[in-house]
Amino acid sequence: MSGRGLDVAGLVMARLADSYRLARAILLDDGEAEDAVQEASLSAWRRRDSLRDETRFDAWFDRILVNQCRDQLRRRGRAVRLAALPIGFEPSAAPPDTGADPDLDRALDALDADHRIVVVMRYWQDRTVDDIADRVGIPAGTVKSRLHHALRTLRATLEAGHG
Amino acid sequence: MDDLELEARLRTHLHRRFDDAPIPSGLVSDVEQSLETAARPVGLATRTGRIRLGWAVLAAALVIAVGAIGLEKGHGATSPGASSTPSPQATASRERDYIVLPPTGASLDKPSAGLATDILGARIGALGIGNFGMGTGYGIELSFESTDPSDASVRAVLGATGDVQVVPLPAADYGEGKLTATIGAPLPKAEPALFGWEGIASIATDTSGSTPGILVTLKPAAARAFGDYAAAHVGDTIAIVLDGRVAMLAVTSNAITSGQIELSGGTVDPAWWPFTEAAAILVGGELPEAWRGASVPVIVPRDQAIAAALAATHGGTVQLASPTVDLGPLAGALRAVWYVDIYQPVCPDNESCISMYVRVRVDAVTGTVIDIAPQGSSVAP
Repeated sequence: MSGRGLDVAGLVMARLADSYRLARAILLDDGEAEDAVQEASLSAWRRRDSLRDETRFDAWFDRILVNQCRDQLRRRGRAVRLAALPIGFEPSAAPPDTGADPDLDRALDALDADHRIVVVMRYWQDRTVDDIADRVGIPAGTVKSRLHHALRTLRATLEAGHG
Repeated sequence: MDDLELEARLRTHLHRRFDDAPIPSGLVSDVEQSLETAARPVGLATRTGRIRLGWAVLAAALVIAVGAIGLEKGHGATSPGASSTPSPQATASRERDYIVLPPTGASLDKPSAGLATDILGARIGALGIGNFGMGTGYGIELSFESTDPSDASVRAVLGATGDVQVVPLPAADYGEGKLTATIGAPLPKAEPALFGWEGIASIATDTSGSTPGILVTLKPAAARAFGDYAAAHVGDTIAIVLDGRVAMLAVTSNAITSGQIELSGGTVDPAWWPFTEAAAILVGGELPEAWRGASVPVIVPRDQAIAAALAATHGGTVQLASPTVDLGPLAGALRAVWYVDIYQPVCPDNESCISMYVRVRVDAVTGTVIDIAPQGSSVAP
């Protein structure tokens, strides 16, 4: 059965929360994560003919979403961002709570799109290398090399910042 | 730290940070709406798409507005250089009107007025108003039909001079138990600026994200100064000071060498300038010298001006209602007025009627009629 016979919109809506959390973990930005999910949902709808098997939907949609996140990260890469302060922030106030490990946050933020994606899927979603390869659309060997490179970069960044 | 330790640290951090992220309230409905719209092969469905469409509409609207202004020249406006008179059908619309008065005693010239009009038009466009009309004479008039943003926002954006300073806040002076920079207020003590407009090549609206943003491109010297500062002060606060008050606060997250700074929404206190207002002022730019200190008076609505004019003429057909600026009774003094043009048919016999044409000037601030002046007549069959 092709995607035209499947309820692609229903499948998209059913995993919206998971999709948003994945986009947020990759993009580290709530608003951009919303955009990515919305764009990926539309893209999935347009490409629904390429989905033949409902059981493949999660991996199929993840690949679309990850590609969308990668595109947004690359667009963002054209400019250097100043970290935005939360509304009402004043320099004398406590720094915003961005997680329990701000050094690691900064190191993750410094990773490029391809490496951050595999790190998030491996260490947050606890996916296997083969599963990541399927969802990102790259060979398993490339996933391994990206993970290796990402860990090396993260360690170097943390040690440079004494984190 | 070996790989196993780093992996464990990563797992702990990522789960803690991302496992329970709440879903934004509008996301479900946004995606549902997008998919519904996609199912109907008409229109643009994504938020980004709508924004892009908005800019396209803005560009088209500007072309139309320029064309309309050109057509309206010589249509009876009496102030020298006046170039905007709304079309007759505008009198029945829900238009919102604003007048920008140059500072008293300013030496005005057409080039600076044209430049000020361009700047204010860019600010209004950046504020998200896609379809508006502007005219320039002794002052600048603006009309549009959008219900957003608020009058206060529009007047703040029109009246701002747009003087900008990028000011590093020394960590030694600002922080716990030290000085505080507050959005909407001047800095507690004078701090040297890295640069102002002289260091900025351009500021553009950035619609690549979901939150409103601006992209500041620096000139080479300022880019070097900013890069040197940021490299040595990662984590320090930088204030964007607009017209002498702090408009945005941001922290440097990494060394900045590209000469481009991206600022996104959420950086300002909504009780003061919403980000979109400050961003609109920055995108439009700084008013020329002659227009610094311009004012945007609160004027009576179009309907009120028309009602006052009709009461003074005992009826008639309103043809035009135009907010404008003309010379007041004191030499050199400008005032905001409504021009309301009224036709009054007079039929002396059953054969033909004469349409008498009068212009009523209504004080735009008080709503009182200043005078009624005959403009001519025509014979209608």
